[in-house]
Amino acid sequence: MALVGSRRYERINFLGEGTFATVYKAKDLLDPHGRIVAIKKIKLGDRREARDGINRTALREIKLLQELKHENIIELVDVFGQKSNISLVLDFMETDLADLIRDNNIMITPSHTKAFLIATLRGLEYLHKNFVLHRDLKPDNLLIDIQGVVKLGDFGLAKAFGSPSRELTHQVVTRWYRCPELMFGARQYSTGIDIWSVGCIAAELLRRSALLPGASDLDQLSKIFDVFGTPTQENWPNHNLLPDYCEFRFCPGIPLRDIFTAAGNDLIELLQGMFLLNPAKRLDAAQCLQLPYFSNDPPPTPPLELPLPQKCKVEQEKALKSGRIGKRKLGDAIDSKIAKRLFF
Amino acid sequence: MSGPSQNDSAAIQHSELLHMSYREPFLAAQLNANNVLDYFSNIANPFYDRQCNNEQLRMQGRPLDSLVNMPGIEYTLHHYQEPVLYIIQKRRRVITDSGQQLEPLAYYHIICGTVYMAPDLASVLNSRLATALDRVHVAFKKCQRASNFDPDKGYSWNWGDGDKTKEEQAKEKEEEVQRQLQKIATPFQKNRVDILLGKMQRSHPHIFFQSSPNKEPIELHHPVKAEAKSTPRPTVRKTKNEADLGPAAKRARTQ
Repeated sequence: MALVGSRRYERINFLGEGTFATVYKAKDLLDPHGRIVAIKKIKLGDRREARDGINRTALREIKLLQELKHENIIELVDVFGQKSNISLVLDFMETDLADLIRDNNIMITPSHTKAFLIATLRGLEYLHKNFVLHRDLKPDNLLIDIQGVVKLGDFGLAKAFGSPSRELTHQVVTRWYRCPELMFGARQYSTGIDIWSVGCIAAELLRRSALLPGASDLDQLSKIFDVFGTPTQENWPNHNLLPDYCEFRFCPGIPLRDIFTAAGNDLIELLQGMFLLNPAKRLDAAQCLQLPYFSNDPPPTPPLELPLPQKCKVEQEKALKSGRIGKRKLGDAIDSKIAKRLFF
Repeated sequence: MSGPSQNDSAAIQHSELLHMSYREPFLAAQLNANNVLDYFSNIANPFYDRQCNNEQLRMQGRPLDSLVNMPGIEYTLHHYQEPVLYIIQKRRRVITDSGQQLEPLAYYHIICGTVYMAPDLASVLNSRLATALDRVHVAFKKCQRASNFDPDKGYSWNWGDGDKTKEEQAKEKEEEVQRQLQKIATPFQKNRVDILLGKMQRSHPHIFFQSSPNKEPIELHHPVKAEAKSTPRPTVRKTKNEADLGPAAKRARTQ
């Protein structure tokens, strides 16, 4: 019998349950190495909900992920239906950045931070180049696989952008990582919202705690302005025309140097570029990657040497021994699909 | 893996650090072995590399115990004698598969709350040699100034202007010039020369008179001759005291 649909996968164990889906760990029987995948079974809910068709977040995820293929973006391996259910087969990811940040046994060195940021920004650069906004970047959604590669995951809120006439909703992005224009209710926004989130993630990697943990939407704004200063017409023209604008008590802001005391000047430059209040001036992913920070010392840590929680480290060593994963050799570039050509 | 980049501390040259000190007056009084590293980690301290592992941990709000697992640059309290002396070591931790290695990079001493950098051997030797040579140089210069040559006495030392200010030295120089001039001629000699010259001038009066440098000299024959003719008598009368007069006068008369 052909290995199609659900028969292709051998369920290993139950991983977790969210509002929209339950997730299982499974083995791909088609893959010669027995690749481990995650199966996300979308919940259909009761009959009334089922009438509306399949869940919107699942649809988004399927629609966008099918077209996106990049080393730093989670891969949608397969989609199959079983009775009235729909299941997504995704890369199996060992852990995520939030786990890493919370794990007190793990040391995050400047080299690690740089490696995480490069991976995130490269994934984001690819995403933005293909006119997709992630709209929910946070450490929990930066997944790490057994080889230590960081991938953007959870495309439940992702959306294509670029149409000037279409209004987008401002109710996106987890609050702590939400940029000021979204807080002010902007209906038209662009890649800046994801970059702000990456800035918050970078800050969290450096400080091991959230930089702007707002308790409410208003509190979030005041926390932002406490750190970066209240916007002025000079640094963010016409910000007062945004739908939900409200005046804040003037605050001069704190120099980033005093918050990230151990950060070098190049890193401060990057953070400043990502945390510009004016979304039009904020750097995009490609510009960020061009900054000297990424070419300066210390070099980023190779994926396999990146820290993992103890439990995952054990798994990694097992996998390395069994040869299921291997150290990537030099020249075995990410885009190895492109044949190397030699001219004489 | 390499240590944190040094783009901050590069702003201050190593040699400059040796001439610096740092002190935080409010905290200096309550130093002890437990808080001395915090004191040293003050952001204003020019000796503190902000990209060291200590600061990484501080920024992440974690205890300094984790330093043992971190490769890179770190600071530790190396030795102390409460409450006055603390020695802080800056070192690089290298972690390899075979084990750990600690390379000392620099030492800093805190004496009564003031931080200084302990110089390396090369700097000490350089500085000592420079000081010694400078002294020798000064000594030679002094000797040169003090050695005197006098045709009368030969070579001699003059240590007069030991430690005097410039003004005093200038004044003394002036006096010295005067003294030298006096040595050239005694007052008696000076007067004598003046008298002789005066006599010579009188006996050989000017023949030409030039009123200004650009004008043609005028010949002064007539008035001089007239004068000479109108005063024959005194010259005759003077002949009586011929012996008193110098040879110049004699010559004038015979003219």
